[in-house]
Amino acid sequence: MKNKSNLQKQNIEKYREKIFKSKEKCRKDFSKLPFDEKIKISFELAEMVKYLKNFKKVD
Amino acid sequence: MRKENIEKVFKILNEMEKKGILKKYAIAGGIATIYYTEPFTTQDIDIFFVPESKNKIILLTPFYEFFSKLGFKTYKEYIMIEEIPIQFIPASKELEKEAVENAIKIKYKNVEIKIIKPEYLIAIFLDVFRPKDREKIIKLLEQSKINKHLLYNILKKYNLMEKFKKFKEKYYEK
Repeated sequence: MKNKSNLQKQNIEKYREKIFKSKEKCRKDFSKLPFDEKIKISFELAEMVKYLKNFKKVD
Repeated sequence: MRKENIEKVFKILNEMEKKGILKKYAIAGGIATIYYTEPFTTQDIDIFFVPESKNKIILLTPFYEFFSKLGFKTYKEYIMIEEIPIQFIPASKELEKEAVENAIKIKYKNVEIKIIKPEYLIAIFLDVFRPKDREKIIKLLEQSKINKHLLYNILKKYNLMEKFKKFKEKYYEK
């Protein structure tokens, strides 16, 4: 039982590592985009931030 | 801020340069960083310029006259071009002046603009060192092509080497 749980933890850890690596790759790919494309994304992100800031905490 | 307006901002910068109002300038801050890294949000456009001075007094009057003639308004320390807040920062430190003088020319759509090199950006961010500056240093180190020889020369010249070493120890210790 303990072995099974350890194995599962290891698998989860491997999966997490895989996700982080692919995220890093994605960030590097984004950095290679043309400047005007990156500015466009940056403006879209700013719009998204504005939208998300409108959310209010519900008690 | 609307993305269509950024081209207009860059065109105005060129116009100012042609008219001699803005002699030595370069785009710095977030927008300059984005040129070398992944895109991220930024609130304004920072422009470093080497100001004209008369008897060691920096003259900003031609700037404000130019913008008021075009009908652009000021908000706090910003000049608003369309909906984009622009901050004109006088390059008063030697590091900033050198960064402006060594800026590279790039093209945004059909407009030519000057942008600070990543090595100088790192040094400037290291000097200012707010949390958002530290984030930009990390992005530049990880995502842009850095000329290490140039970077180390700049850091040595402006006594930032020790700070850089400590920064690397903190964020890249294994």
